[in-house]
Amino acid sequence: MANAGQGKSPRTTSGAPRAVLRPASAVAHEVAEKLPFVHHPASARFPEWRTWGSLKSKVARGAPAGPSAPEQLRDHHVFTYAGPSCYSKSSAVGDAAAYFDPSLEVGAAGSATPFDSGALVEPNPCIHPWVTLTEGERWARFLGVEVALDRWRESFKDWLVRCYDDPVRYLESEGDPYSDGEPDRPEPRELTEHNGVAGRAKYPRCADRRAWTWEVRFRDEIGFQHVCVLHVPHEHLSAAQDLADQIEAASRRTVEVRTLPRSVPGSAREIYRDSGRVLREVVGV
Amino acid sequence: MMSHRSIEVRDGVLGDLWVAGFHGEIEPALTPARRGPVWVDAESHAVVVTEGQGGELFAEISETVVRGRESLEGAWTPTHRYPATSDGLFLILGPDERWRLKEVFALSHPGESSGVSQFLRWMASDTVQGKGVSAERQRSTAGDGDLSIWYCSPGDADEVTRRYGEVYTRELLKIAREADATNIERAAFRLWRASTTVEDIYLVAAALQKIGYRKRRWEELLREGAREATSEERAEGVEKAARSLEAARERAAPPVVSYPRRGELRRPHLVKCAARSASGHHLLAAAARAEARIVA
Repeated sequence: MANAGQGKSPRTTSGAPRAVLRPASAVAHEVAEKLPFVHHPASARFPEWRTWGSLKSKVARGAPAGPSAPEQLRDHHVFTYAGPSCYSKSSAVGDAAAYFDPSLEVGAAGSATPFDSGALVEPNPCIHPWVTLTEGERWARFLGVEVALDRWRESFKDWLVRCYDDPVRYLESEGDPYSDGEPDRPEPRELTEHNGVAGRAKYPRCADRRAWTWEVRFRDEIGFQHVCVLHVPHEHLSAAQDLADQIEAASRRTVEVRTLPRSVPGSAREIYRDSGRVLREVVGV
Repeated sequence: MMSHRSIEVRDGVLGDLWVAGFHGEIEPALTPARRGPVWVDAESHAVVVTEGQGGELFAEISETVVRGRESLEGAWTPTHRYPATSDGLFLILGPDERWRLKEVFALSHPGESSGVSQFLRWMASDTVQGKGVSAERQRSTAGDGDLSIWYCSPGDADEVTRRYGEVYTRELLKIAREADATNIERAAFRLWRASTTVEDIYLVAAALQKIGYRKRRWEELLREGAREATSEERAEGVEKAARSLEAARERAAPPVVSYPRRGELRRPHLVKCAARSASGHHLLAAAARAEARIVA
């Protein structure tokens, strides 16, 4: 059911509240317009990255880029999700995330795809059924769906309408990352036959919701002046509020702090699970 | 290359999985804290545990071998290896909590779990590694004190945290009498970290409101800490907590005594003054001494 209870609920003649059903396209428009970019710094703890001032690509940090096309992509960009904070690797830890305001994309260079590019173009891909393709074929597939940064929200909105009966479901993150937000009509259709829950039953390795979560990449660097939400473990609230105040003073924009529930241990997994809630609040759906 | 496999759970223990540490790092000034475990398999490969829709657990095993801090892509704190449990977490306590152990022991009750009493006894000792309890002491990376680290069930973590919450509530009420904003803020955030109920959160918000903490920030804290409550319930909760802070302050305020002239002091007057005071018996004793002097 799409957005029952959203906004003011008119009453029926009997006085009982009546759910307001908004068309999926209107909800998709709202999600697509307001959705922030989420980055979970897996490589640092919050007290460390809070002092960085910006997130930088490998090249922007002074390291050379690799020669291959996938390496160029990886080394020149900062990666974010337009969706729940689903970056997950068994070798990656961390406990907080930063959400960047949509204004970040104004004048920036970059691109987007309706999935995690690393799952397709990195040397050990996990998105089926393309894992058996050659590196060149996988790169061609990537280029075929890549969208320029200045057009990605329009593409994203259309994708939400095509893929979901209720576009808010895209923001699900409270359950199994292999089934959360699974599209009603995936593109291509076989995506969820080979990834997610079905893929897990078929293969020793496949993609989780990263197969259907939009990744937006920014060239070189993204500054903290664009942060709109800091999402931290419960005990870091005070430090996060200090950072939020600093960013607000510099940017004259509102920065909010969200915490994990008080009984929940800080970890990448819990940040992921709570990120859907935070995104729904930011977008207002 | 990663691979999946389902996990067999026996008596809450996850097959052949272990925990090797926890996500992030902790400073002693940020305790009590809870942290998610870093899982490894028997060959020390890093593992992510996910829960299927039917509650079944899956291990996502990577090729990364976990040996030291540098072996994982990120900030984590290695610990001794403990058998992984399905809902186990790390509870981290710092010097603030160790100093208050006596008060926490005083809150022991006959029905408490053996895990809780074993942990508290170990915490009171000087032993680095717990025996019969998955606990250990570590020097913090910030270098300002020891951390007591316990891999435990959420229920045991709740019980210990609840007791600290009780101790920190009493402290906040006591400190609120002093009207020192820095001390009140520090005490409020100690309670925030040890909070287990919405009443704790209401008290923190009321204390911060009292000292002029930025409104949007204490409201944010209130919304995050009491997210299950409605905005009306939150407003009511903070108002009630503000009254208890005020009552604590009034109890400590010097009693308004209209000093009698020489020879006018009478016993009923003293009793009335004493009744107004939180430490009435002290006042009564002092006044009785004064009376003796006046009469003399």
